[in-house]
Amino acid sequence: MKIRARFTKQEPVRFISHLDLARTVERAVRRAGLPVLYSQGFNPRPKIAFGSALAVGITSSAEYVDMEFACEFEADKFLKAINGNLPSGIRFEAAKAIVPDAAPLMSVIDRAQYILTGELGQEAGLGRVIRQILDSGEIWIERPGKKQTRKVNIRPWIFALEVLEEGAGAATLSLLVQTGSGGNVRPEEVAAHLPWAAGLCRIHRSGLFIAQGSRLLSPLEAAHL
Amino acid sequence: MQQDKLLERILPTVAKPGRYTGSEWNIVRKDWDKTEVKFALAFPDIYDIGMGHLGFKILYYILNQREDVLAERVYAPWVDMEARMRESGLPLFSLETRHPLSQFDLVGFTLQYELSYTNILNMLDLGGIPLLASERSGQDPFVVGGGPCVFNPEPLAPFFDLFVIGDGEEIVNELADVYRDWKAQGLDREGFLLKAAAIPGVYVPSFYDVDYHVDGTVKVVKPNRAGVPNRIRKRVVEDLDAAVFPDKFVVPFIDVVHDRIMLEVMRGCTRGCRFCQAGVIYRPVRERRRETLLQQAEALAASTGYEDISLTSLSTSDYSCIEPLIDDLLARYGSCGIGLSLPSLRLDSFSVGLAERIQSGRKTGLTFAPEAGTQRLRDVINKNVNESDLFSAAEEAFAAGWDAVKLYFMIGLPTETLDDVTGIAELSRRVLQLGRQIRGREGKAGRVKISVSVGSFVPKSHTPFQWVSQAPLEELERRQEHLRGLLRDRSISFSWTDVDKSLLEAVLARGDRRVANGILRAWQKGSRLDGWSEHFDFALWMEAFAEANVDPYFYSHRERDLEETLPWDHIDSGVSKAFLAREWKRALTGEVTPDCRFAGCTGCRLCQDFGVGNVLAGGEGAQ
Repeated sequence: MKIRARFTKQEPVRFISHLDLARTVERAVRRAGLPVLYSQGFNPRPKIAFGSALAVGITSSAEYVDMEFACEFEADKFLKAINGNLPSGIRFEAAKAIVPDAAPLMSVIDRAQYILTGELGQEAGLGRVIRQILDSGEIWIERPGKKQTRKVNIRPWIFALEVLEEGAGAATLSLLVQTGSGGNVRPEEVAAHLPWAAGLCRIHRSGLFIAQGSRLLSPLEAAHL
Repeated sequence: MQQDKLLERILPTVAKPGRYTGSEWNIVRKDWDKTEVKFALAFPDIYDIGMGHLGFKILYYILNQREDVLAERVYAPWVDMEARMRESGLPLFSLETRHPLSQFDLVGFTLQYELSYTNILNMLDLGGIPLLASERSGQDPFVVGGGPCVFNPEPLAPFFDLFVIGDGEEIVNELADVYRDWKAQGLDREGFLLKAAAIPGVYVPSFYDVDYHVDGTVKVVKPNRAGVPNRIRKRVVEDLDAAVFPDKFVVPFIDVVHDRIMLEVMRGCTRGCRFCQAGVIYRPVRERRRETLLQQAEALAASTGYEDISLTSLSTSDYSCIEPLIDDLLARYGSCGIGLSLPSLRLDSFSVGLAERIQSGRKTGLTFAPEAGTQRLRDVINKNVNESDLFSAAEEAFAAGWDAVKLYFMIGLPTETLDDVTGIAELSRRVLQLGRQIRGREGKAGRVKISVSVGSFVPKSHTPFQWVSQAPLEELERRQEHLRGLLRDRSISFSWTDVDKSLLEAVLARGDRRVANGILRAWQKGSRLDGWSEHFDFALWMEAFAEANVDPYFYSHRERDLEETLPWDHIDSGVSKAFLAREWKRALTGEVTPDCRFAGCTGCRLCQDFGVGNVLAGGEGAQ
């Protein structure tokens, strides 16, 4: 059977990389005695496939993973077994059985939502900066690659940027951007344009979605696709 | 906590922050205020290296099993983290509860290799502990050293309150007991050291004075107070099968070395290679029973979720039950996605057969260590393998489908001539030829790759070569150059070690107490992470030695007289100096000495003097 699950990545593991996280989940699955299937070939790998990778330092309450198992069992059983074997900071919160030929998470997830929190700088003018970002047709940023730095216009991929809370020199913002192979915005690329004190803010991923027309479906809601 | 806030600011700015965050699976966190004895296990290198050390996994488990003791891990920071810590005043802290090193009662360093010595000073300094034992007082921790390098602890003597010599499983508990009782009695620091010195295997360097001859050699090392032994006998865990072994390992998040289940199938090796210190200090051979190892594998597989099991020891194919053990492990774990690996293989076709059995699918390289290029020199070093062993092993490997073979040699061994060096190239080329011939039958001759890795010999204490001079640096370089010329071939890759590093190792490995000043000066001048080529600065070390009035060549490049008192003579490995001298003489005439497991006692004295013996699980050859 194939299970799709949502999990969180919080303190104290926000500093581990995507590869480290994947290895940690694989080992938890083995400790839990869950009958995960392995790929054939020289180097058998457990059939565990993650959605969008999360950058080091960012916390998340909406990570997704698909796993294939040798037999059928209840999603609740899965949650109980795996949560008993995870280090603190990683917790599975929802799971459901999905059709075996469901499209891979990587190929369908195309929206990411983030919460940015931090202290504001001296001459903040937060509302004005946000309006500037949203009113501009182009926001060019530089992405250093292996060989050369590429210039990318991220503006078309920013769908929403709004203040959730502001006061006492601090603010909380919500950001919705494009993610995946069809265009990708890293939250820190937007955060860098905002007037944080010392340029620092905390970033939390609050959602990953699949856009269906004007609706955003979570990967669990879209599991039938 | 203030510290957590600082750390949160620092972590995003350093490489691999997972080195410093802790919180791994199977971590043991205890109530700091309610635990009597606080023990830091400090590894003098970065997390990525230190987490692979089996000895600390064992001690972590043993100490944390006790209610009255807590053990926490501490590693050296990488340079970026060190810079941040110094800028912000963040002290070196433990991963479990983030307490500064200075707040522990006992800080235990394991001394695995000489080039980690400056890391110890750096960690003490970052942890807020005075570097010199003589400057510690009141609430300062006691700094304890263990591991293989304590068999010559003298170059580090001023920095340590005490050393524990030999197997750590029992002594670490005895030390914790003595500390707990001492704390309850409220005696002074010396009171603790006196009590500790009464534990067999404990060496308190400040209780010994060293006198020197005018020529700079050691005259005598003698106790400066009553009640401490003249010689410190290493501790031996007689029954390894009954010794405590962890049923849990801390499972790291980030990629570290030896990140797998390690089963220590045996301890000790009696093959008797004359350059090898481990073969002396870990004697006698003590094997674990197969049933015990299978139980340990079962417990660790369930508690860690690891994908690999490695059978570790100094020479795993010598383990007397190796075939049935491998069969059992493959049968049990083959279908659960858990693989098996053998890190150190003897050079023979039996071992290749074992490697073949555990390797399903892709054949990554096989490593063999002929050590020397000619039979004459292999007899000198008592490496009891001959060319036919090597060729039959290589033949078996190629026939089984391996394309890549790695050969490990040393240059600069005693009595080595240019012919012996040429022999390395000839042997390597013949292995390549053999590979092309055998793989050629499947049309894969072009795929054969031979990696030739050549280290420089470093004479070590407690070996038959402890008296010899290291080969001159220029000569070592000339021999490397000679080999490079002979091994030019696109199917052969040649790698070598930095001769400067080997020289420093030689100084630290056989230094006396006066070398400590050089180490201190080198650290003050900025030396650290010397095992890492990108940080090793030979010129800085040479300046430090000069400023500290230490002549490095006195230690590395001087042939000692057999009668000379060596700086480590008061550390008793159980293998007698007379045996080592006899072995040295046999080396010079190329006489080999057999393995006492199979050919009877060779007279090293350990079993008689310590009342111990080799323990073989399979029975055959057992005495």
